Amino acid sequence: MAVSRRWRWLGVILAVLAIGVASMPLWLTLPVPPQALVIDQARFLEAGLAPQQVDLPHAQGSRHVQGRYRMDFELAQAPAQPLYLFIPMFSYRAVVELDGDVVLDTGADSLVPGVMLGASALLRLSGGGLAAGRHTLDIQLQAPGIARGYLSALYVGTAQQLAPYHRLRVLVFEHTRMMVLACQLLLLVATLMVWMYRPREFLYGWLFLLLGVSTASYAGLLADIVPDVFDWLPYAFTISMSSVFILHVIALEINGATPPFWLRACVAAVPGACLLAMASGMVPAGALMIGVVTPIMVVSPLITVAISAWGALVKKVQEAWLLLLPLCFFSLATLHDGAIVAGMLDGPVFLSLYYRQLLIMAIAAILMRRLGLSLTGLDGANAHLKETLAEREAELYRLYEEERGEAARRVRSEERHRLTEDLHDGLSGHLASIIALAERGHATGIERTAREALDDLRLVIHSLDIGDRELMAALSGLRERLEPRLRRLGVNLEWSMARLPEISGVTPAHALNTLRIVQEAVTNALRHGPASHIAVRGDTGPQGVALITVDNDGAPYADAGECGVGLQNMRRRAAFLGGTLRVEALAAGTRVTLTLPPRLSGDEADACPEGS
Amino acid sequence: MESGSARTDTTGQGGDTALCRTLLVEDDEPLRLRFESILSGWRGGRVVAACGTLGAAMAVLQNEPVDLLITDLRLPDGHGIQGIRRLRATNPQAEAMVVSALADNEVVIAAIEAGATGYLLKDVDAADLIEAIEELRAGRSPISSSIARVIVRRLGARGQPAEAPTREAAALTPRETEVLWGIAKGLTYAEVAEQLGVSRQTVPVHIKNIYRKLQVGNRSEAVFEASRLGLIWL
Repeated sequence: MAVSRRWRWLGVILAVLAIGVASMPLWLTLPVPPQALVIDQARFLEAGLAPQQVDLPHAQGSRHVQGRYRMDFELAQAPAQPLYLFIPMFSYRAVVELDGDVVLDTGADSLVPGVMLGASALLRLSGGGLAAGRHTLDIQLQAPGIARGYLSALYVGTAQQLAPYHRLRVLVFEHTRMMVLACQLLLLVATLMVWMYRPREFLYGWLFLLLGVSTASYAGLLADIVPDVFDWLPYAFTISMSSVFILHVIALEINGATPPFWLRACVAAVPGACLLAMASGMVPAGALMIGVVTPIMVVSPLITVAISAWGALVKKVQEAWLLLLPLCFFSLATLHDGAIVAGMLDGPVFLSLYYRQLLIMAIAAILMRRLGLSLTGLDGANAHLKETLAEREAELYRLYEEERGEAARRVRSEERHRLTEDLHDGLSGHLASIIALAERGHATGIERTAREALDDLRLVIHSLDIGDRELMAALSGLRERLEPRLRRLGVNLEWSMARLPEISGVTPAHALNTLRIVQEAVTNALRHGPASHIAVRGDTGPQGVALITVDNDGAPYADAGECGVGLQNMRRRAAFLGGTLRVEALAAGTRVTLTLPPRLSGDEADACPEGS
Repeated sequence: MESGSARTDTTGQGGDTALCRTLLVEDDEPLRLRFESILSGWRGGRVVAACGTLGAAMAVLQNEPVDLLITDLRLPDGHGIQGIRRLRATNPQAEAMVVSALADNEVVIAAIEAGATGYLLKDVDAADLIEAIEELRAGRSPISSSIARVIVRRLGARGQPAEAPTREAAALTPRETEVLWGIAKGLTYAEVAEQLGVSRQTVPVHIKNIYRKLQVGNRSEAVFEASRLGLIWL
């Protein structure tokens, strides 16, 4: 999956190492001091029975027994160094007497009463020094409620000879178990945090619950604070029993299956029923522990193993493998412990306490794996998103460029179209006239028409340069061209545009059409007037409209309309500008009024009027 | 034509002053002949030479004093602006006019920057041509509103406070700027004069001063050539 090939090998090596380390409690025997004096014979006294000679290590015959062991040892001479007694393993409470004096009561000073079956002790024999000769050791051994009492062989020697072996056992029997607890608490907090942030992922909730209820089996640790905690231990163990059902649920969740409701109900129902039975006194707590709780705790892990094996082998869930191997060990350990409880095995140490650590590690590995996978998935999603985004951006940019190019092409095309029409409108007509005139040898006509053609071309060129709000300047350009011509003709031109309002939205096409209207009005005045005075004025009309009037003192306008085509053109141009054109007769002369809106619209810009 | 000759008679009272030595450069022969014939009727000046190429014009400028150059811009062997610059270099007092068919903004501005103080349309009437020359000789230059607009835009663009003020922008007097603005807006000379409270004849005097100040004098040859010949739109 997400784990590369390189890491797979490392994983295999780690798994082999882990199996080796994990199986250690099953095959490892802790070393014993080689040079010390070994005491492996004792007289065993049990209440109501005759003393009997036993070999050490010795497991008592039944539970709830207070047995007394008596051992003798000889010292050839008074030792130079203080002597120590080393008890590698006993279970679970020992009172040691030397020559009738109590030298140790593990119930008083050992860290690990209660759950911590199997302990090690190192004690100094007498305060000053031992005399040479025979000494008697008495060990009063109290068995725990659920397993038989156990006493290993004893060693007498100097501190140097014994201490390392004792420390090793302290590490294994006490510190390691505390480490398990510490890890369990750490993971308890970790799963709680994960669950809080991912409340919909029930697996985290079940993991939290598992870690939570199984801490109940450490209740014995509270003995120093709660003196009567031992009375409550069966209850604590019963509560921690629900962990085996939770383990089923977790195994199913990891397999990707939905745990059935009855199983989830068992988590609370079975321990609850046991607790009720205990509390009501229907069944003695001890009997319940031995008869119900322990069998369930021994058998259940086997079922969990089966569930995980099904997930790993049948459903091919990789995570199930992570759980399967620790579960195998764990169930082996619970079998082992079950055998101890059943009296089939002598060892006093409950291995399941150690293998719980393995389970916890597996759970941590599963959690970390999930974290890693989701982070990798997140990275992948991010990379994918970025890639997609970049693709989209490139696509958008390309479209934008295309669109821009297309728009520029459109503008150019429109402008070309307009220019062509404008030139056609004026220049080509004039040139055609010139040809016609030249064919007839009409020199004056040719000159006039050619001048008109050039004037019109200048009008077109000039209008190209007109920007928004520059209509007055455009009109001024027309005036500059009309002035010399009219002067030559002896026509007086009166021009006043100072009162023309500023018109916005002016494009070259607007300017050209306005100029042509005014030019046509002036030409008409000259041609049909015939005028001697022409006045062109700009003014502001109602609602801010612009009025451009061209007055002449020629003949009054007759509606007969002999200037039909020219006037039609003017009206069409006015309509293009969004304005109106009015021609009226004056007392003496004609008035042409062009009305323009204060804001010209550019919508019809490409609907440039067709020329005459 | 009739009225043109008549006006030439009235305005060309050059009896006491020396005749204006005029060089005409126009590659189109009918036009050159037309201008030549119009100028021959001008009492105030005489045509030193009428050339069809820049080379011929340069040779004339080299050898003979010229008071007035009337030149087309696009010539078969070069650009009229080169002739204007040569003229301005040899005789700073001399005047130059540009002949153009359309007198569009780029051409006129380029000519002004080269040192021309007036421009003529190719279809100019005889009387108008003589009048324009006389006006120019009297210290007055014409300006169209579109040329004024271009100049105003350029000054606006160049005269940003962040930059060092350019020579011309700094040199224009407030009155000259006002004249320019008025014409650029589309006002007539008369309207501008009225607004500013000056006589109508004063406006073209301001214009000529503006032209003089716009002349590119202190730029390097290379930059000049590049900017002018490269950017001119003909």
